[in-house]
Amino acid sequence: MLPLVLRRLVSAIPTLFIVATLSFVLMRLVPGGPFDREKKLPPAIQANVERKYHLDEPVWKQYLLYMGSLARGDFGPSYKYLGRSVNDILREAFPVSLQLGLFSLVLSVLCGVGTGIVSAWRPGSWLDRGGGLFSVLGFSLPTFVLGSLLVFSLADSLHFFPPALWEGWRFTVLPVVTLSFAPAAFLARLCRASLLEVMEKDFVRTARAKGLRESRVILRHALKNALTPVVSVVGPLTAGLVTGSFVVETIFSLPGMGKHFVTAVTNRDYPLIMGVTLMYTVLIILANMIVDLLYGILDPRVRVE
Amino acid sequence: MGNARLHTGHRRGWISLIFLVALGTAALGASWFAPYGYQQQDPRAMLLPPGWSHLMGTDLLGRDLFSRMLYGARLSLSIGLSTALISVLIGTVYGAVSGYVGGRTDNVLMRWVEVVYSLPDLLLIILISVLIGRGAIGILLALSLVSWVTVARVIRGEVLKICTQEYIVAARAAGAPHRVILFRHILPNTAGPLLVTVIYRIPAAILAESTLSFIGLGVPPPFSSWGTLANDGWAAMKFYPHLIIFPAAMIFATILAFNSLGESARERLDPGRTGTRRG
Repeated sequence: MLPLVLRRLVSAIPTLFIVATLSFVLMRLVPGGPFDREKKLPPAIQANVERKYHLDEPVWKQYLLYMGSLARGDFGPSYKYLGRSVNDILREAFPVSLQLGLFSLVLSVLCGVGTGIVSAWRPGSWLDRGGGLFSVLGFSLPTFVLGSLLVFSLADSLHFFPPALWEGWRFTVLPVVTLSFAPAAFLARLCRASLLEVMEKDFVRTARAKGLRESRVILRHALKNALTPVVSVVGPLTAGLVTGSFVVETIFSLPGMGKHFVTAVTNRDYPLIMGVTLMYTVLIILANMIVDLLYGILDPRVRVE
Repeated sequence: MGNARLHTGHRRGWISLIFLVALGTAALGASWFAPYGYQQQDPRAMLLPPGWSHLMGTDLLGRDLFSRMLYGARLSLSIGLSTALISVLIGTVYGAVSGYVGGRTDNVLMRWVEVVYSLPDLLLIILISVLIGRGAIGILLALSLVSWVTVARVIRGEVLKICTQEYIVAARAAGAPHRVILFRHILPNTAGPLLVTVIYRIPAAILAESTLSFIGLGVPPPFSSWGTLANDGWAAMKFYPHLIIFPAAMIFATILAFNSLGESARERLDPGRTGTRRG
């Protein structure tokens, strides 16, 4: 297992290098600099500002400087928040986004797989129809519509939960539910289809023939085999959670990376944009690595390699 | 039983199609159907609730929400449709070449698709739209540049499947040039799955665009899509909920209709791929 992890970590380095280079090039190609104002700065100040952030150097030198500091784990200074480094901002924002993401991942897996099992139990029953309705809603209800709906009903009108910020468990409920809804619906549909397919296999018939109860057949024999396709989507699911977090963190004013990314784009705070992009890339790479490891645990055939 | 489910699926598909055609007509004829101008402000009619003179009420500047919704439909739908069209053009060529040529070319081409596919789509769309500018065209291009990878994956899969069929082997044995095999024998047979994929790309693009506009990174004023309207409504939601209810409901209904249409098209055209088996 360990060599596999090490190999994956090493192979992630070129990917990160490419993403860093691409985002650097992308940001330098953008017309207009971060210090362009409606009113022009006096030339002396402009020159000073540019010298401070090495913007007066040739682009290749800027690139080398940036990559050099990246290699030391330094994302550089923020252009917008004066006196703060990107590392500083990420150190505060990352835990918020991580909590939000992990809670949502757990909740969506529990709800999704649970709904999938209940739906596959008796296909066509009213429970199955309920699950179907849930997945239709999950596919078509945009995150921001659901978020607004929840804020309007449970926060603004009924005052059950606070409508914004991140300062205790009561604050986590609405954002986590909003963010998990679509992934849960997606997982429910996938899990149902996968279970129904497995239920036709010979070993399930054998288990039934042994006289096992249906619950035991599903939970003990069918589920483990049905989970392989479910595990394989954890990577895309993480990507989906990142996308959702832009919206959820904006709606609920959470001080996480998604919110910072959105404001950084408006402010043209390039080092912050690149820093957040790289953090997300690392997250996605890690998620895909975990998927590969889980695969090996769930399906012994994959382990031979 | 299975038959009954299939029929309800088709009924849903028809209802969705009728809804979408009506919506498309309303959007195309927005300038005739809209009772007020798109930017027309009325200082005596600010923040009115829905009523007979203003079907969906008015906003902070006294603009008629119903009229703005009609013009917004024009923008949202055309972004959805054009994104789907561009992604099909790019995705089909890319996927077909990758699947047909195979070997190392396929590996390299698909590696790139996998990278784009595995990154968060909104992250890429935002980064690209930063680069090419955030006008309506910029957003459209950014959406298309991310959306095509899904089409490419589907087409490549189909091409790989079709390539093993006997009639392709026969065509090859008969000495047909690659051009003929690809364009006459392979691509027409991908039409079913391709159509299904296209139908699903439209709501995905509408969703992405409205999400971008909602978080304030979408089309800039004076354009306004449904997402922009929802964002305006969000600010005043607590006291004037009608401003967010109508845009949000229309976005939901439209995406739902496209998804239902896609599902019933898939049942009809691409039965092998139907993800959920009907009980």
